[in-house]
Amino acid sequence: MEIYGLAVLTALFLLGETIGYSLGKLLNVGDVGGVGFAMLFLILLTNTKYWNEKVSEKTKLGIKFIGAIYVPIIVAMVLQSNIIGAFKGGFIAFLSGGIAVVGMLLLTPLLSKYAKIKK
Amino acid sequence: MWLIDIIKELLTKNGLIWAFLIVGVIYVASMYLNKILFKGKLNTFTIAMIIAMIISGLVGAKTGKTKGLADIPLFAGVGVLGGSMLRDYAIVATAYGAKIEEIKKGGLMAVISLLVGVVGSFIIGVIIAIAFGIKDVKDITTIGAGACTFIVGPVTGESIGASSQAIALSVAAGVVKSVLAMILIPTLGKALKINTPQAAMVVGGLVGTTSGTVAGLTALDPNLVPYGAMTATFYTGLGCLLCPSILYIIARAIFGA
Repeated sequence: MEIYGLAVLTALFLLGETIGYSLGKLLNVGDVGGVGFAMLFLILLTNTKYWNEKVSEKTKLGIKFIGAIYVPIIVAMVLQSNIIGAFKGGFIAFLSGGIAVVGMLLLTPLLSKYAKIKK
Repeated sequence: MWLIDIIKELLTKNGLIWAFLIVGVIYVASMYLNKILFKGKLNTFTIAMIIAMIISGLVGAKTGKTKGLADIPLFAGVGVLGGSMLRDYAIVATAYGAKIEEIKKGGLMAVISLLVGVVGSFIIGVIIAIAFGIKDVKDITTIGAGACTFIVGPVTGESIGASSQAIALSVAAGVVKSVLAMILIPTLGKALKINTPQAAMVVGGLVGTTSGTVAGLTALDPNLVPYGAMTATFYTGLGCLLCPSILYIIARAIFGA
């Protein structure tokens, strides 16, 4: 059933966040990659033999549905983002944020080249 | 008029599902704009995002608040749909279909790019702060942290006791970064060869800023989202870890009086 998919997703999400927040507490910061851990768990689960052979299509559909509505969620996220704040910050904000993103993007081909050599 | 009052009441009461309709309408409009104005050459999602940015900016300019359209009570549901709960839940769901082998291939490089991304952005922010004549090492560190993400900045600033002005600047720097990532990743994606899961993991690690990376990758190629999102979600955590500790200590050793 679809609700099983939603339930599994929530369980993994909460598990990942629990780890993220615990790590954060340990290191005295906020959340350390809780969503990332949850994603890892989901990937591990969905790559198992059990998942691929025994779990019903409807259960999978529950997770796929949430994955699919994530695009409109991002549009909604942009709808409530602080665009004015980005401009109001003036030159310091614009330059430090801007150069950081451009500089890092330019490094991408270099690092992903190494990733290719590695395999 | 009574009908308008009823509609207002209904829309406020059903904020979340009303947001589905709003986003749906923006999406349909984007699709037609793409077809008519750009002959289908652009990505529908990119146009939807630009429209969303314009709306959010215009509303923000009018209300003077920080949450764009969601600051208008009638549209508060947009804040629920685009808020962190559903966003994070859905980001996790996008991992569905990602292959373990691809992640293993990119794993080490993802870790390296995370370190390079956080430290590199921090250094850039610090240089800019100094270039603009900021003297206090706490403020310099905070702006460096803001160049990581708009969460790392205030977290760092508050933990080391920077001025509120520097904290506000760091948030702005992070927001600029996020918005630019949304625009630049799809525009430069081809030139930078962001076309494999591994490259997406590297982008997530280098750029961080989950919202920007995820939105940018979605516009570029939705299949890459799970890989980029996964590393990006570790970025803020790592930044919150390194900036107020090691990086602050180093900055203090170099620039501290």
